[in-house]
Amino acid sequence: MQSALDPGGHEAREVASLFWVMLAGAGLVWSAVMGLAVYATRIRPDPHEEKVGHRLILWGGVAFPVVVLAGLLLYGLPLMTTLREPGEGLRIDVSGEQFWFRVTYRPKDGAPVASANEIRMPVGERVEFALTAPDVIHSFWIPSLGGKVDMIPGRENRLVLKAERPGSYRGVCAEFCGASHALMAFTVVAMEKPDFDAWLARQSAPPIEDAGAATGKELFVNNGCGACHRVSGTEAKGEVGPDLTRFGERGTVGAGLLPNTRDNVVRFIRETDALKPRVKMPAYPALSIEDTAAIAAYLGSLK
Amino acid sequence: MIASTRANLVTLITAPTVWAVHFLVCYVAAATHCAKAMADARVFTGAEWPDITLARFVIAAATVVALAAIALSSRQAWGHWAHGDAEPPYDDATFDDRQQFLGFATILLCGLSFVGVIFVALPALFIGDCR
Repeated sequence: MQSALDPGGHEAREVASLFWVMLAGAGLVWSAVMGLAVYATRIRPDPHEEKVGHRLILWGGVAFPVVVLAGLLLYGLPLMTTLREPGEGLRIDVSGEQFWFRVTYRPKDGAPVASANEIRMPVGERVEFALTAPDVIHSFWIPSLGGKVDMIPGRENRLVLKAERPGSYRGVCAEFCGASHALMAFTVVAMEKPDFDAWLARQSAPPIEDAGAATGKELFVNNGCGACHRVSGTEAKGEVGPDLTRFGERGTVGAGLLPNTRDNVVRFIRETDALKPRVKMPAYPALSIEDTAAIAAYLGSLK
Repeated sequence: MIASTRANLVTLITAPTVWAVHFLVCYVAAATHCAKAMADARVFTGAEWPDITLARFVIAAATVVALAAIALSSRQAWGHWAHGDAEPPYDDATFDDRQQFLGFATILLCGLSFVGVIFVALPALFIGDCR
């Protein structure tokens, strides 16, 4: 699911084939050098004529590496252009923050849509990612879809990816960014274009409220969760932490940390810093388990 | 390119120095050109990338100049090398040995620098814009 050698997109496929070609080349060179070593130590260990030695240095030490390196360079360089075609309309801003990913969809026509820790993209379309970071350097890497690009404070880096196979892929932060660096991941869902368009269109409306989760919603608001988290259509308008508008649709809680189940959400709210060291969100052990479970139920109902 | 009837440490490092300067010229040309063009165009989403034709011309010219300088340096080194009649490995404490050692080492460095300059310039053959 997370292998660069199991490509699900155009860029990753190009990089994987480059890897195999390089590996084959390296294997040939290694075999030749080992063969020569065996020849020189076992098959004919006695000294050779000086002329033969000079010729070996000239052809094996100078001409051969120049030709091989030039060949590999000429094979690899054209990739640089094909890997960087411009996007085809959809732009997704992703900001790496300690220790989660802020996601904003910017369709060509239509209002921006905020989300977090999950990226949905259409299959067969080049999607442009604008990568930033407000705190420290992070790196954006979806191994199955393409190479990684750093997210650097003060800069906006661009990456264009084209998914070719629908499915769910894992993305990670690939640059050490603090105590919970290894717990900073996201899910990429590649969807067929019509499904994606329908999904994106739905995002501009507030989430459907589950009448059964009214207590949880009240607790969510009264305990001040909305100071940091936003839920579209409610008074929760915080921008510090992840947008929770459609939290119930997401596969994980805590940026790829745990499967998104009610029990895990309860654990995350009550033992935040134990599960995710140095996370900015404080733990809320003072909330009763029943209240926390009600909040988790409310969050899980947001779809 | 330092013309000298004798080989010395300066003639020895002429070619690698040319290689280094050529590297710098290519990168600075492309980087400044694209930094300006991108700031002007503020390209995003489907827009064309600014092209780097000007930078490519600069790189082409720098490459021709660099290769010519390295060729001249190697011709001069060939003269220093062929001048004496010392035998390899040129490690006696005599003037001829020193000259031939420096001349031969310069020729090898010229070869390396020549290939290096070509490899540095190759991306400009394939990449036509600031992407």
